[in-house]
Amino acid sequence: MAVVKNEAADVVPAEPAPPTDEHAAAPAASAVNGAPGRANRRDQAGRFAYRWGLLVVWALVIVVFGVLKPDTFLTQSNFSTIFGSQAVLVILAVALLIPLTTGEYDLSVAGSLGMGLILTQWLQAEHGWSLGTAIAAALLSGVIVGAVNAFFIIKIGVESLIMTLGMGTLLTGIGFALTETTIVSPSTGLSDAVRNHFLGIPLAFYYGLALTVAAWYVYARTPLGRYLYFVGSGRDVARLSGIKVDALRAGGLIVAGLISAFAGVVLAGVLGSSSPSVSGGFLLPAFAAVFLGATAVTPGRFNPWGTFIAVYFLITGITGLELLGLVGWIEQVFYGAALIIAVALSRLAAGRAAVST
Amino acid sequence: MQAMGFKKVLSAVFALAAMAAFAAGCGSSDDSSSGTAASTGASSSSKMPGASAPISEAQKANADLEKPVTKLTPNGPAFDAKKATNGKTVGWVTVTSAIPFTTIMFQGVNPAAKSLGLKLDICDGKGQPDEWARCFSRFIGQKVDLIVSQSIDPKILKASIAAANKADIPVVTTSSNFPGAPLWPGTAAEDPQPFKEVGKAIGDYIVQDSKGKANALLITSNEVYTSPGQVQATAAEFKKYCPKTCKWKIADVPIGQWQDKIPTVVQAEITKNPDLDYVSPVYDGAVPFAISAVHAKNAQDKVKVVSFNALPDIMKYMKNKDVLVADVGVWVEQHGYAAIDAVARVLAGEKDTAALKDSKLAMRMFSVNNVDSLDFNNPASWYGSANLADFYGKQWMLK
Repeated sequence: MAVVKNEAADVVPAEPAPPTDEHAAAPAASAVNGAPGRANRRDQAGRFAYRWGLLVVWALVIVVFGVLKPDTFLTQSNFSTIFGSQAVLVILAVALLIPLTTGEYDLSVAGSLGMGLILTQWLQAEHGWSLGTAIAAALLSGVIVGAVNAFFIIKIGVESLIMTLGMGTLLTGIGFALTETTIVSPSTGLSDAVRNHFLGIPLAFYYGLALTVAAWYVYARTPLGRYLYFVGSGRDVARLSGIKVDALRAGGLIVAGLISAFAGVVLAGVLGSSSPSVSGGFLLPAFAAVFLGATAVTPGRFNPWGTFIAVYFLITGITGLELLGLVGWIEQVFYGAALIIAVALSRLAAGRAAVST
Repeated sequence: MQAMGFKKVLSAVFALAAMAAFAAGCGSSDDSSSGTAASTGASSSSKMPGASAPISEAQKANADLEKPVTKLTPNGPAFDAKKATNGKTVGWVTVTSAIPFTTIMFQGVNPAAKSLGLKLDICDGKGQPDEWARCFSRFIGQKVDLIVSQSIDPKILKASIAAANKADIPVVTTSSNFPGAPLWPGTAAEDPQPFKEVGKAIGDYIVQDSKGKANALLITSNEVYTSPGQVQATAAEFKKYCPKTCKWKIADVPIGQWQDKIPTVVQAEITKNPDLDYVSPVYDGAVPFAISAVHAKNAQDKVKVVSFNALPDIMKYMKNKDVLVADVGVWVEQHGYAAIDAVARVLAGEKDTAALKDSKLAMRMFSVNNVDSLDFNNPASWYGSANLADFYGKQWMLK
């Protein structure tokens, strides 16, 4: 059986291992040129930039646009829109995070989202299912997709990139087979559960936040989280250490399928409808968010809070540009440039941190 | 070892087969929209009672449509628009700002809005329903006076439109329905394109160009609400003028799959059907893929392409005498003016009037007969001498 290459772990920058406790680590001692105080401060600044640079840049973006457009940018309704509108992407990015952590690419997450979206509306509208059972079926579809992915990747040995690329395409095709056209939700229950506000922010935001908190807890506070990182860092070493590598890889893919389908359910509530052509646009932003998120909080590792910050940093910038009347190509330039610069700065900061240790 | 490996492969094959069977079993029961399956409209025996209509009627209709537009048709009574619109803010959600159609439409929207003192806040929908929803949320939060949903299927934004209604913000839709059709639930006006008239125009062109002996492949994109109606209007012209001598087939290719599927569909049809002589994609964004397929089969001297939108970049194929022989256009700058007209009527308090459901947009058939008369440096001049600013100025009582 071919060994699946640990592609995702190779892509994550091989930086000096950051502290697993995301609370600040003790600054390293330094005696460069007999100026330990200055070197210490540089070192601390470098580590701070290394871990929290993205958060600082996000805050700067808010300040800049707040100064330029105080009447429209610095409003409760604007932040409500920013936070509420990206919930689906946050959920999908968290879904993607898990298999990436174990070294698997999962390009089928958008397809699972689409299937969850379509099944939620199609089963209600076309087959009279209740909302609850339609949602259950949608979530089950995600589990099945993840299980099929796991079977082919782990048991058969197909490369995860290829398998999930094929699965994503298959799911899109199935979506068109089920329904080519838009299906309008026959009930408002799901939209109410997603779009109603709490503390001025749509409930969808809180679902994404809760998932992020849950993912953080698993990664930072449980052995399972540490095992996921071990598997992603070195499958053979993890196996020799007694970790059930294949079970963790399979579990990661199945949970990714489930959470992706949940993202589809939430999207069904956001839109109040479904269409087979909706899901494709989520795949690259989800990857962008996860990889950009790997530059923050625990740099060098995919992590939930970094992903969360990345999603909202990007949408904050895009919203600010829109309010300035800069739509179209400039948003794409911002999006791409933000990714490149953020990752580059993080690598530079990582390099300085490595030198100082 | 080998047996175990074979067992794994076999179980993989069974798993794939089971998934395919599941998909087939759960497929849509609506035969009129079955993925990429083709439905044949050809009939060797006439199903229409009585004789077919004379082809000279199609020739006249096409000839009239090829002439420049000299006169525009009001869609409703003149009214003092600026009284209702001056200083108001319109949130405009584009389906995507990255397509020429939107750019050209704004060549009408911008001057029209300026003349009425309207402020436009534009949100690029980027072709993504979640972005469209986000744009709606932003505008609702900003309490704009009205939201325009441009070229977006309102069904997919049911929840956003409901939210706008709850905030007492009227919603105007464009290019999402047929003229005169009932308004979408929760919307206040529609600025439609005359999709069925477009389909009829394409049918008339093909009928008269082929002298009633067309063998055509009509490509629809059924996920777009108006697409089936437009293509059926084309087929209706074949049934009317040449039910016995024309043959046609309808293939459904979703817009998102044009790049991959249209070449395959067109090349397969040319192979299976050596008499094929017309390919008509529902929108001319698909024309490049169709033309490349025709060239790939070396059928450029036999197969002609006819389509809709008459976008300047696509029309260059016609100018270069490259397979595209006809492209019917709806005056997109006028579409922009008409959208602002709908906005103004809603802000002026009109409700459920005929003017709120039909913009009476002008059309013109561009073909190899008149393409040489077009100024490709000034596409705004293609439709004729009618002046949009003057016409709408009178409608809005600005002059």
